[in-house]
Amino acid sequence: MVRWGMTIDLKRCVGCNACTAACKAKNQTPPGVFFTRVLIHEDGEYPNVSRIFIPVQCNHCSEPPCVRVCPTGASEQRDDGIVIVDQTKCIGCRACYVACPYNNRFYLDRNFIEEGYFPDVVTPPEKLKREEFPGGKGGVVAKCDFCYDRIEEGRDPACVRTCPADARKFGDLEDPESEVQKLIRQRHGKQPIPEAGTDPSIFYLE
Amino acid sequence: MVLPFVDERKEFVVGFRAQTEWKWLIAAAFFMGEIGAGMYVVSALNNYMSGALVGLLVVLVGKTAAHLLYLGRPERFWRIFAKPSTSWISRGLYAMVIFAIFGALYIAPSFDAFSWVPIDQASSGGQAILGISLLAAVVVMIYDGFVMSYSPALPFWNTTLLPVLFLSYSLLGGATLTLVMMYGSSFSNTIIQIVERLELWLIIINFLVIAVYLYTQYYSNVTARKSVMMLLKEEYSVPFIVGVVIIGLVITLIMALSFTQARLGFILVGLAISELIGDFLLRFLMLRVGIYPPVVF
Repeated sequence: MVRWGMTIDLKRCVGCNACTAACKAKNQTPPGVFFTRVLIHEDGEYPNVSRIFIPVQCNHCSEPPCVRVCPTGASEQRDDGIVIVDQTKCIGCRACYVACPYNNRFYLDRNFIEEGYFPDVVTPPEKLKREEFPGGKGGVVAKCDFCYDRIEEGRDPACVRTCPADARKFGDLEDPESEVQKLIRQRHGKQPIPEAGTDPSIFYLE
Repeated sequence: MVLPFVDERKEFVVGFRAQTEWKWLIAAAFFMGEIGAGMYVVSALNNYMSGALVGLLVVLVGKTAAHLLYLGRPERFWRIFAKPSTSWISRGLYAMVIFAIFGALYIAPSFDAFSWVPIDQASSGGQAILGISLLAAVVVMIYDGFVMSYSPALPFWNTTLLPVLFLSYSLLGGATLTLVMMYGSSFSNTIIQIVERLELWLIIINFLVIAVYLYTQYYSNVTARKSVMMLLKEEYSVPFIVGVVIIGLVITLIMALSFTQARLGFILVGLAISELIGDFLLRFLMLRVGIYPPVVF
């Protein structure tokens, strides 16, 4: 069985936020909603200061607390490990949002359809994507879906494809010969907040 | 390494993050559900049906309304029945439905308009209905605690002490409201004394449970400690210490002791107001100090 996962090389990431922009372009999310984003972390004291960039997004955990707490079954885990939200079932209780240790879920207001990046106007791409939105008028939760539509077409997720530093790799965690598994073994990939016990499918390489 | 406290969706900086989605409306729903169920339990066990009815209505009207106002898509609320196998929200709704049905069945024959309901409260069947309604009421009192503590996301909530804390606060709120209603309806002195004693013991128990909760969470991990510090020394210290501890427990205790000496209505009103302020603030502040740990390597 396939279990899709990702490695993110923190040594390669330059914090350009191209992944953030690619995700925005693909999903046409409203302002303030970032299915992936790059956090900045500064460590040490002058003059010995280091700065690293940590891209974050839904970790598609194999033990996802968001799925467990969802009262309607809207949050579900596919056979390939991808955690998705069925917005036609979501009631907007935000239990999943609160239960995600990584804080990577977003609530779309009821008026999100009218929210564009430019004042008083929704651009045609934004309008097109909002019309396709299965949740209809909003009032539901949304998140990264690992671009499963692209994966099913044999392509990498938009954030992986666009990364200019090649910091992100995508592949099957169950396949010991996959590039992601090799990187995790060779570089001792670390999962975020392991104490939460959620077994994320995203591994960070230092 | 000292990490900042950030809203990383705006600042894109690694740090502790506050839970921002569940605020006063959810606190109000928890508050009404728990004190309503508590009131039902205390009233029904003391055979005070008017109190039990008010408790039932507080849960069914107050809690339900607050939850529906909060939902993004309230018209789909019926979908909550779908996942009792894993979701405490779903289990809570089932408990509320059972509580509503069996609670109403038990108290109905006490009121003239429903005297036709063929249930004898003293019979074994009536006692079984009471037992089921009490069990469902206890689940209504504690399930909010399980909703919050079920996920490891927010370490301050992720403890089995949370349902215990909510249970003891529910019973205290329920006992307070029952006492107010009993006094207003000139109920038997002996029963009032029993509820008074229950009130005093519950105030002491609540104080101990809060102290144990904060102590254990302070020593559990860095993120939970941050939450404790927010309550005791940082931004929420004034509402917590003044509202929850001084008004909600100390003044309530003084008022309760005074009421045992002099049965005066204004003391009871003061007792109820101070207790309910502390009761609501506790739930609100528990939601506000839920903090996510930072993503660091």
